[in-house]
Amino acid sequence: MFSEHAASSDEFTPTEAAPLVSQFDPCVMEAAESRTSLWPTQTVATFVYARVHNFSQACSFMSGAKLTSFVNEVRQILSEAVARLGGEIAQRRPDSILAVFSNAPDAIRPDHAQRGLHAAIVAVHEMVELARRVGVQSDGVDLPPLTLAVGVHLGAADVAARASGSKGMVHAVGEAVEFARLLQVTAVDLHWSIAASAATNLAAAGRAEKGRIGSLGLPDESFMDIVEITGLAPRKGSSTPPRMFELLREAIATNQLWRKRSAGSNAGVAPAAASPAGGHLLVEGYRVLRKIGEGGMASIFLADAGDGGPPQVLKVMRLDKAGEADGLQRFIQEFALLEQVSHPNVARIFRQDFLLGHAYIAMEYFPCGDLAACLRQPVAASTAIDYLKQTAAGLDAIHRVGIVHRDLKPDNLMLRQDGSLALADFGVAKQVSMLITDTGDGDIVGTPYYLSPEQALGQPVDARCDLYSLGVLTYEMLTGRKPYDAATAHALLNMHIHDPVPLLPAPHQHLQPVLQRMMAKQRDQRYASAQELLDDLAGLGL
Amino acid sequence: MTPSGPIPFAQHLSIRHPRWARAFARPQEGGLESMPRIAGYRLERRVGEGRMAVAYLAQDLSRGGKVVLKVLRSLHVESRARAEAFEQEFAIPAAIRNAHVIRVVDQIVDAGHASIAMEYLGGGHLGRLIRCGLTAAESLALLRQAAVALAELHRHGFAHCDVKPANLLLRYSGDLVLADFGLARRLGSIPPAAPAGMVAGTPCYASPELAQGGVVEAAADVYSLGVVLYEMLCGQPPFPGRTLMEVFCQHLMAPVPRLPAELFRFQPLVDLMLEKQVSRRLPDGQALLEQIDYMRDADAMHPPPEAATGSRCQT
Repeated sequence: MFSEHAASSDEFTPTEAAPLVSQFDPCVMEAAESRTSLWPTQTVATFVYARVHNFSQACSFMSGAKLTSFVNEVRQILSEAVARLGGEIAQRRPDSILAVFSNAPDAIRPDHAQRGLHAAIVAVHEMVELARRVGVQSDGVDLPPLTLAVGVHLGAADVAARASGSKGMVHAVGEAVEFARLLQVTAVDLHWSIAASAATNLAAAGRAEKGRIGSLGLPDESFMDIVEITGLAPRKGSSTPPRMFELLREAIATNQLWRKRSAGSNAGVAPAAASPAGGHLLVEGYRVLRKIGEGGMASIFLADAGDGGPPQVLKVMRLDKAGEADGLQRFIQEFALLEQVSHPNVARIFRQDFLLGHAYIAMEYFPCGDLAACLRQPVAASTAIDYLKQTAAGLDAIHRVGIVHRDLKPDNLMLRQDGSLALADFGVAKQVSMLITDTGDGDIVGTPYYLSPEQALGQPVDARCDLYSLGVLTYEMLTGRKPYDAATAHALLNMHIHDPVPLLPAPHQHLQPVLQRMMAKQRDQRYASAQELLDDLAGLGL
Repeated sequence: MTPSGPIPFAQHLSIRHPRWARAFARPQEGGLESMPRIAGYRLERRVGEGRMAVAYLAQDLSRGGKVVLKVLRSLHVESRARAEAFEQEFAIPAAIRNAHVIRVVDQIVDAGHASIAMEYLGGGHLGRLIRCGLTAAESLALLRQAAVALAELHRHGFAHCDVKPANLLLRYSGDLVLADFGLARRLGSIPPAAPAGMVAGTPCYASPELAQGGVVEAAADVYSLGVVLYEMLCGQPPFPGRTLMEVFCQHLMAPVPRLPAELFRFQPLVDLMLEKQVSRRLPDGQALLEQIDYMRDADAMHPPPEAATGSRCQT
């Protein structure tokens, strides 16, 4: 089946669309022996689902013999890629193919994952060649580019021979088949040429070259790690000219570029969260490690960016729910503002993007925990002043772009290994969604120790409410006690609204004027900004 | 394969910012669907989802017709308290037969799932109408139907404890129906203790006393319905809080806002429903109903001028 002449052929003319597979080493070990049983048997195999995009659009520009030959050519490309690597065809449509790659049950070294991925790569290359020819022939008509999206998954499904006796045709039904289809949709959503489950790529033992990574949410709330396939790796001792592998890589990259362009996306497409088939959650650029939280309209994950760096917090929000909560406009604005904040005392935002009904933000993860844990023991006055200054600096940074935190408390001040402190959990960057949604079924809100009088009374709120909260926090850091405490929330709020600012004990008396100006009941008696507070502290020599 | 005419492929290109184009692109069809299998029903599609349950539109194979199946999420991991909540979610509406209380059909517990089958109403929930805009007259008519349901529930000795637009469903006819009794509690009971000062409940609609873990009284439902009434009249919640903490505290402390001049005649009703002191609030659904009817009678004698202005959103 696989001719040996290929390796010696030094001519490869893309316009002739020579089946590229013949250019490579004869690589196929024994494929599954021809099936005799018509009964489905549970088979572990590699399933490949490939689909041509803009197929019908291309057809609509052709007619007669040209159309016939085009349709035949697509069919041939898809079928040959499968046949030449010893695969069987489970379903064939004019624009798509579902193929099964398997080994005999007693095969010593199953290679179906390698062959499945190889076939996917070859099919992409052939399709790019065809798209080029069709483009040339279209006589100036602006054809949408033909592209191929392929999903590859290794898993179990029921496979049976076809009764019709057509050679190389099988029935395939089962979970692994559905996953291959899902991965194909995923490839479309992410503008990848080939999306494979990470396990498939692992089983292929380095035969395929890996690009970006991602995670695909499954109905049972688990995640499947996925990888982008970007090329075929030479076997050890391969005599195939390196140029051939280069051609495959280029074809995959071209296919991807065309798809991106035809989808109207910008060139520097960022990683994205999406909701492909059936509302599955899809995250590109991250390997989801585990879910760490769930809010009204957001899910929060710990994820690995695959760059060798520390894990990041990934917050994925459903925009349809945000819209229902009537906060979409505000949400979008705040999202844009967040991009402008870059300050050592504000939690770092690594990436943010929108895709298919989801928005997501990747944020700094703080394994050292928050200030609340730290305040369980008394802190030295110098440390307290340091934390006060760092928090004020962080607040100043977000206030400057127009974000009010509204919920400043020790739980939202995160510590880093180096002793620095970062503001987290504000606005859309809240790591546990506290924005109001309609879905809350008995939320626990906490105790309003840090809430400003104007917030409690429903009066207009601006950045100065954060300074009040910071005043409460400062008192707590210096004395180890909350300035106001009561048995009920109602009584506590009354103290915020009416009770005088408590006095600091003797060693901290010099800070009393500062505290007064942070915790003033009327906001116009407070510092006008966090910067003014910092200036005042500097004036005191702190 | 002969396409009948050109297929529009350039539709993506017209969207100005590609980032937003992707944000609002429609998800693709097909793929894996995770519908549970429940004997006697054929599930058609997911129609709603909460933290504790997912709702599906389903075909009732034995009785015929469409029902909504509310399927509890992962039954086995949860506590006894949740099993009891599930039990009463069926038992309470089953005991009350009223046109404005949801009709439950069946309770199914099998190996994998616990679910409740209830009538399919098809009109969505009140939140959608509020977003669309309601006239004062429409608001009052809807309020009265909700009051009828609450009066009946309170007469049976229960408080709903989660009155909000999402739990006030609508029939095709426009009739309003009270649903979701998962948080309902017996009147006079004391909710499971929360740590001092903690506030718990559904953020925007919880009454001050319920938010602080007080004794369950019918007046809590009146308060929540008061928030709903304010939203029906004004199109926005009574308090401006953006975070859960702000809204909770505003329920406790912030004065009831004044209605605009053209809605002035509703101010006494809104004040009586949103009164922070339980002792000064309308005590239960029956009292609310009487107050509404009293107001209607007064209106009949002195018709308000706004009746002719029509709906705020003409669609």
